[in-house]
Amino acid sequence: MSHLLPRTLPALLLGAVLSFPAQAAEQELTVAATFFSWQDGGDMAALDPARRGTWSFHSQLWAPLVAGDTAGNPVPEKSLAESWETNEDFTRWTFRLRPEAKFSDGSPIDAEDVALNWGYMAMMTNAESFGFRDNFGTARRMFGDIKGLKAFTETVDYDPFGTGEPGDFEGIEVIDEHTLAISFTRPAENFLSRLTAAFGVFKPEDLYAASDADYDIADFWTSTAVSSGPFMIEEALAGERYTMVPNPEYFGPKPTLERINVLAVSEDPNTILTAFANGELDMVAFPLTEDLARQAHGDPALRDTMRQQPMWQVKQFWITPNPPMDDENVRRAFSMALNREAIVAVLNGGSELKLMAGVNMHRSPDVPHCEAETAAVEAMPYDPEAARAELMKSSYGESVLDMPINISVNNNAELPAIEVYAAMLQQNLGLRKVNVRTEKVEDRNNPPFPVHLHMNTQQPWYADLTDTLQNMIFIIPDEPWAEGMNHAFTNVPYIPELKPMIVEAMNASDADERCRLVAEIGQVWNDKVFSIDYGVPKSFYLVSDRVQGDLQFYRNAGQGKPLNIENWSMAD
Amino acid sequence: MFRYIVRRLVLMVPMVLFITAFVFLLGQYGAPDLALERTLRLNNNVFDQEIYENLKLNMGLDGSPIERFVRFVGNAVQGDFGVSYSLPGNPDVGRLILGALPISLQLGLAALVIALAVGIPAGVLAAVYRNRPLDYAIVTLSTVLSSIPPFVLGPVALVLLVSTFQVLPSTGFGWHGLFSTETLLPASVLAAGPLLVVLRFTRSSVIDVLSQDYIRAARAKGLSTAALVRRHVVRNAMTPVLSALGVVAGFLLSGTIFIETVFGIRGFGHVTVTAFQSGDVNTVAAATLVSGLIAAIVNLLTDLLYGVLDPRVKVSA
Amino acid sequence: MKLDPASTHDPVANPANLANPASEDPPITNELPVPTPPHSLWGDARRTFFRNRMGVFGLVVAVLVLLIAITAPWIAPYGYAEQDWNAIRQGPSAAHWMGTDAVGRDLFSRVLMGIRTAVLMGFVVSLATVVIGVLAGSLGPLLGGRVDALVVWIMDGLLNFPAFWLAAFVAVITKPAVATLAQPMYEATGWAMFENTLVFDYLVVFLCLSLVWWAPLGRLVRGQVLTLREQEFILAQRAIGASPWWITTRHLAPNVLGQVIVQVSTGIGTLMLAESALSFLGIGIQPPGASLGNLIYTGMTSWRAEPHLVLMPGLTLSVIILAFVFIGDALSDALNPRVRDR
Repeated sequence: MSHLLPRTLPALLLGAVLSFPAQAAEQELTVAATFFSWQDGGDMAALDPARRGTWSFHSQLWAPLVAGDTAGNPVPEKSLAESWETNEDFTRWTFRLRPEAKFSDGSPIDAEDVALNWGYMAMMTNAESFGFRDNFGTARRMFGDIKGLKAFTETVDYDPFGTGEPGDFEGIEVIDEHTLAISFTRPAENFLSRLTAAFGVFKPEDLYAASDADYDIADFWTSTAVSSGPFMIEEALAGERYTMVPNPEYFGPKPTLERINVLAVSEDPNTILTAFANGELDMVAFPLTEDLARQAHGDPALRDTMRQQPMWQVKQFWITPNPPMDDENVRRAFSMALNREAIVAVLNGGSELKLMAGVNMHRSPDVPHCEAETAAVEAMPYDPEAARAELMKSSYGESVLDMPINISVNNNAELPAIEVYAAMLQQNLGLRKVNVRTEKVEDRNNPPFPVHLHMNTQQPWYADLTDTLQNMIFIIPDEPWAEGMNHAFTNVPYIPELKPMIVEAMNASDADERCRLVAEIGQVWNDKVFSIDYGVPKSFYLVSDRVQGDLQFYRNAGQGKPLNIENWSMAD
Repeated sequence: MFRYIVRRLVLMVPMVLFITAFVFLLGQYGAPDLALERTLRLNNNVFDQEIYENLKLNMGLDGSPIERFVRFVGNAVQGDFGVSYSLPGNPDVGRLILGALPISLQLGLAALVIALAVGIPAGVLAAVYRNRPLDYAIVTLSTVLSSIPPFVLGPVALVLLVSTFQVLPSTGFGWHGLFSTETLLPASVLAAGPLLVVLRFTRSSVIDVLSQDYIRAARAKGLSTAALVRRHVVRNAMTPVLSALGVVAGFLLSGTIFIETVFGIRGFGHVTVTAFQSGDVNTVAAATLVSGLIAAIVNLLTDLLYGVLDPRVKVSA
Repeated sequence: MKLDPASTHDPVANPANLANPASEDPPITNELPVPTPPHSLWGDARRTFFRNRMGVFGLVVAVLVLLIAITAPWIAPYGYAEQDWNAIRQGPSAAHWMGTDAVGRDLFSRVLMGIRTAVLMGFVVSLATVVIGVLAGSLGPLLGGRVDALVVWIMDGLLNFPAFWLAAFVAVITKPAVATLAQPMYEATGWAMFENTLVFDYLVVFLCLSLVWWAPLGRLVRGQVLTLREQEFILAQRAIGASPWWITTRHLAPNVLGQVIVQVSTGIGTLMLAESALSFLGIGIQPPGASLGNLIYTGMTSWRAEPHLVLMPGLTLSVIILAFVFIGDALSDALNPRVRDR
């Protein structure tokens, strides 16, 4: 298939040298990591264990305390914990670790190490939760119910280099060398599922390796951290690639692959497809953008290599309180002026593969949350006449037609969608100054122009609440559980009637009641706050048929897995 | 000679500074207040004067724009270009550029080699067979190729050579070094503009040489065209070609921006373009300074080279 | 592009170009030799130019481009921003000659508007560079002293720096500054155009290109002024009391003009390229404004599946630039009588 003899030859040779003669090059994978750019970070962002990037790669290198499958069910043979038990009301979980477990440098893994990992993770949570240099507030968001952890995170200042003291809180007890007990402030039935999504065990000394101001983000690439998982790093070239080989000290089943080359790819999606089609890549191990997926599906050679994983993305518009969006009538007018079916049709781009699904989704079909209820939530009807009338009712009156409306998007690939919106708004509402801005707005708190609508992609990977509520949290900044959600940019004007409803939903113990409330909230949301979001319900990966054996990569633990989360709330 | 170099260097510095100052100061005028943003972010959207002042001091944003510029230059001389505030992780700008520069330099070098290796022989051929079909063909073809902008030629070449006919490997997966097949395509596209310059200069220079008396004398002696070219023409015609190197260097410098964008090569041009697109003032200022320095050094080198090669040119004044 | 190396237009050097080129010796008659038609610089130039096939081709294309630029809104089959959501990402067809883009806009209409942008930028900025260049180039030597030194210093700086880089830097930096200025300007003048971001884009591109691109022309003008100033016929003119204005328009200008024209015509091509390049990088004209560069920029996200989105504007841009390059070459041949045997 490949005409690239000069390139495959060394790869083949290398494969032959490093593996048993009978199994040569088939055991070597070349895998594309996510789009590299300093902006994205992504999988290639850091091998520094404290900056986790995406779990799919790090889970190859660092063993989870409890490993899981795509549904969040535990897989004991790959877990560091060989057994676990819980008390009656799920407020205390005890884990027994495998006594023979070792890091790749031969040192043993014990309960103290695991405890320090929690402590470090909690220490890294800070106010800049979208910073690259933290783990996205994982500790607080995913494990905030461990006794003392929440309080500890409140004492932590912004600490970009992890130089502070790791947390030591009462919820984590080291009982003996191989036993650990964790206590919770309230019943934690789904703790195992959460663990499978987000907690791997690093060697504590490695976690503190970055301890002074001279340590730069680029140094993270060449971290020499030891591994606890099935693979270990053989070579890491900053910004380009790293190679993984099996970890001889791993406690679990030995991987069948001899070698994995993980490459950072250029930002041009077409290059990826070309390289894959040419046989230069064995797998594209990150979810394809819609554009890529559409193109891959349209290409007969690539169509069969596409694999689907249950993953959910929501594309939404965030609105700012900049005038005229602060007026409820204006927002409602916008909602009514947009023809949702047409938008979906445009985004599906005339291709066979219908990627975009529905509008005003507010739910993931693969995450079992209140599906029936939220399905009944109705979007504003498409009615340009009524929209125009609604627009004139606003406090701005006629002058709104001449106010500049800036719609921004970070990513060139989203441009078509934005232009459709702009056109609809102009045509249906008669707005004269709708501007599409493609300048990258890195700091959304202070863009170079007043943003009114911003296109954003959400991956509600931490399904601690239904994604509906997650998206709505930012309208109530003064609630304790909303703290740290850095959505200043998207602080929609406060809607009084929603607050009590949201608080009630968050605290509802009965699942049905909760879902009912969520549906109500969704309806009010649609009515009073402008919302357009559409789902990309499936994510695709490209896996060529040369790849066999252990394919943990696109398991993508932690991102949109359907987790069984019942009755779980973050309120304290 | 030495004094000349020193003079040029001394003159070069204010020039580069002037341009950097221009860009830097303009940038300060329109730039967002980073200290303010960070204060709000750290303090949950509540403005706090003390935090704000501290941050301003920490981030080097206190003082008037002129003071900031002076500080910028002072730091730059020590190698500290500050930190990029629009890239996640706030990487050190100096390291960013330092890591990216060698790649661009290698790319430029590869393009230069291609431009010379193809341009000189082609120019000689065109001159020897001047006004005949071969000459027309060579000159027209190279004019056409070099007039096609690199961001058009690049994608076309990508589609044809990499995607459709799979003759060359994909680019964008890291840098494989100066002499790899991955570098061939980007370097060739980059070389298109310089190729024409080299070709034209060679051609006119060779034509000039060919009309000299000593060439006619050599012919009268019975020397074949090939031997003639080899022995006399090439050496004597090269001097003006080298003077073209200055122009060529200019092409190469500007060309890298596009080539790196199109082919996904993460060199200096790519860093700069990313900084452009995200309005990253620090990186843009640093990039201006660096490219100004590079441009000035290249010009100095070409002038020196010319002076060395052609003793008629007095390198002074 | 090639001149017949044996011919020159100097009747003195080549008497055979007189009345009867075919004869070796003039026949002995009683008649006076027929005087030749006057060979002025412009006449000769014109004739040489038109003998150059490439140049003529370039001129034809340039005229066509100019016509398109003027009539674009009327000849375009669809509006440049008109979206047809039933015709997305289609290849070239009868209804859409160049196909459609991701939101169903007709590519052909957008290319036409893109040509308009290119021409606008090319010509307007050229004009600006001529004005600035001529002013700077002539004021320096005329005023002398410190002013001259300053002008030289600035020009050198600009010349030593790769022009496009500098233009790009200036564009990036001035964008937010212009945006900040917009509100006060709007309040001051009440002109609606200050609220239109497309106008900013044009303004910014115009500014950064003119600020940077005048240098080569300035140097040229300055060189000419310096040389000519000292030439004897100028001294003679001054001796007989001719005014500086007379000297300038009758003597300096025509000599400089030739080179300026060549510079400007190639400059137009380069400027169009520069504007497209800025838009290609995302720092020039933004969508939905149509510039050939930004059409390529948006097309690049799917060059593999829809190459026509990149190829069509790309080809158009290449042809236009090529045309101006040919014109520039032909003009250079025509207006530089000293240059032989190219």
